[in-house]
Amino acid sequence: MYAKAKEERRHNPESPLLHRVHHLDYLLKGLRFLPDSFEGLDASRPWLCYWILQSLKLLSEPLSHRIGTDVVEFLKLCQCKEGGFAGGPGQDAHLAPTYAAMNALAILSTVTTPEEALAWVDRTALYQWLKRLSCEDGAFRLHEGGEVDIRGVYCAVSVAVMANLPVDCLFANTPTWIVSCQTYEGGFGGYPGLEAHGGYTFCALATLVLLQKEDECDQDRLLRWVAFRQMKVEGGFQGRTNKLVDGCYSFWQGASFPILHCLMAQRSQQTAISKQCWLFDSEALQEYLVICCQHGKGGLIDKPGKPRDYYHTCYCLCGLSIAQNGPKRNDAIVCDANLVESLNPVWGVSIDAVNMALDYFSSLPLVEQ
Amino acid sequence: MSDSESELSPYVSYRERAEWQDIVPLEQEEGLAPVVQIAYSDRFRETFSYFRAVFAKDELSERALDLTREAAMLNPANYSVWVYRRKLLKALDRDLLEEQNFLADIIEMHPKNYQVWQHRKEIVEWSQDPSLELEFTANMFTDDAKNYHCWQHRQWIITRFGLWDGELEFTAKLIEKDRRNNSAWNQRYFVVNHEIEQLEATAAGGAGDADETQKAVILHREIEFSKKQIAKDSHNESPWSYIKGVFRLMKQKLHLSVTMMALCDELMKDKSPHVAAFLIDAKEELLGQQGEGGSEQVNSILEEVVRLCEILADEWDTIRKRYWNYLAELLQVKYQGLPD
Repeated sequence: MYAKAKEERRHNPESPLLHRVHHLDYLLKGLRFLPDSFEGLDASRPWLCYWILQSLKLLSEPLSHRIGTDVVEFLKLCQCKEGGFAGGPGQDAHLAPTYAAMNALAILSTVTTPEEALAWVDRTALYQWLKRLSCEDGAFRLHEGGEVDIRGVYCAVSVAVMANLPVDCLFANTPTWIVSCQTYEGGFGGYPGLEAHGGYTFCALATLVLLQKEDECDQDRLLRWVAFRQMKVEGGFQGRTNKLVDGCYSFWQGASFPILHCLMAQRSQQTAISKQCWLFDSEALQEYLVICCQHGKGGLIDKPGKPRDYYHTCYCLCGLSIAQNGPKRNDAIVCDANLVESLNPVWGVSIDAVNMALDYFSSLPLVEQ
Repeated sequence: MSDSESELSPYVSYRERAEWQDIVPLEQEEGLAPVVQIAYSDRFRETFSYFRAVFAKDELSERALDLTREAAMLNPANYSVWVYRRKLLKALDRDLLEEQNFLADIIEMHPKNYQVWQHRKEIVEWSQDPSLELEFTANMFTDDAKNYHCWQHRQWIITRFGLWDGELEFTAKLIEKDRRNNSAWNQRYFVVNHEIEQLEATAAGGAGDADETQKAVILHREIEFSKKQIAKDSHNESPWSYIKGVFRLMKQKLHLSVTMMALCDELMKDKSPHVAAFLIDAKEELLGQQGEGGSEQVNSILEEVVRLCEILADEWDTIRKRYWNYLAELLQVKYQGLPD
């Protein structure tokens, strides 16, 4: 595919192109209607909202107030009176759709207004529910009667910080628990003892940053591990050692680089090169995404031959954003027409949306503990 | 009405079933202007409407249990259904072995689903019977030896029920089958870590010296094991990270291992980034010991490290060029006090 792309570029210096129009079509359609093949995501509908909205944002697609309101109204139906959000109206509350819903609402606060998108979130109930999900050792269950792993921790901390909830007591032991998930490889597993994995590593690092406890983990070994997850042939990232490349890891692994960049700056560990660019081959990642990960009919994918879905569309675009928006300048390969917007790597949400939500929630009174 | 096989029975609308006449199905709220609206099949829509109805009345009955099976098979990711099913199993005091059989089938159909594995874990915890689990997980590995949920379940079983015996051999078998199976290497570390923890616990009881000797035996064993695999392919990352991890676990220095340093020298000809990285790490240990700031010895070691980083950046591992350049500069600043 790379050979073909090189050949193509000889005739057309504007290629490879990000096929924006196709992707927008796919995204806007999905925001309203999904075929029955999506029954398996019936308990993940806030995720669909977040993946689609975040993708549209990265592509700078303006959204109408009307569609913003419609999504807000839907997420209201997903809020549970016992606190948190469910995967669909009438289901039990679960940390993953809660995280997705809050991220979607943050984006919606820039489409409608912060009041319309956020004022109705029941922060008191949310806090009480998080308390019920917390474990003594600092970990969190994903839902009542559910599994414990590092996703729960990340989702809990992410929503607590965004919604301006009291974090000191709730997460007192959490950093220690997270650190116990760092493996001999340098990445983090989903639970102490488990293999280092891109998705879980993102959860670990982002959470430590949110709790301002980044120094408790071994950042040097983490950097070595994540740098080695970039595939020398494909240019994309793998999730674990000796596994295959997948477009979604462009974000899960890629996000560690801008985050570590900030941490290194704080520790006066910057060098000439790290000040200029993220410490991975951002051109190679962009090439993988633009040449190999675009579906012909719109949407992005894991790797050639795989079907498209909204999850991969979102995380491929998020990864593209990180690769393009280095510490100093925008580095879109080929042309600026391929440039997507910047995002906040800790939340996986565009910068203005995160700030709008943080500002709004921080203006609200503290919740009782 | 329920099947003992894990297949959906031929569909008969709930509306037409005599035993369901008393229930009014509860439609899902969608609001006035739906978003991310899924075009459910009739069967899906109806099954979940009946599920919502019994869930709302908290009905704990056989027919509700059967309904949860249907609903779970239609969408195994619907965690609310599984939680309710567990409540029903308890209330009706059902045979857990039968549930494990059902789970075995559904896990095979949906091996990367979180809910089915959690359900299995809960059933085992409730029955306190792990006797099927090692075989079950070993079986699942024949299809996918890297299934993360499966490894998680296996680690939990071993830890919870103390089933450590034979696990080291299990990892050796898997590594023999595929030396690139990083999950198997991770499991080996999991076992060795436990071995060390046990030794240290006994040592704390006053057997001090025995502990150090036994640790040395284990380290030697693992060096030999890793060396064997490295010899087959020095470009395989797994044994390298593994053996470095074991050194750290034992608080031993890489550069003091004659075996490993000799191995690296021998393997430089392969141009494997992992050989060079091992040498960099070993030499960095030395730098750390010598202390910082410009003695001749420090400078000479530093030069070697920088040279290795350059070879990696420019020839052997160019995809990580920025990382290797960063590392070289970082170490130079640290140990030579170079202005940055």
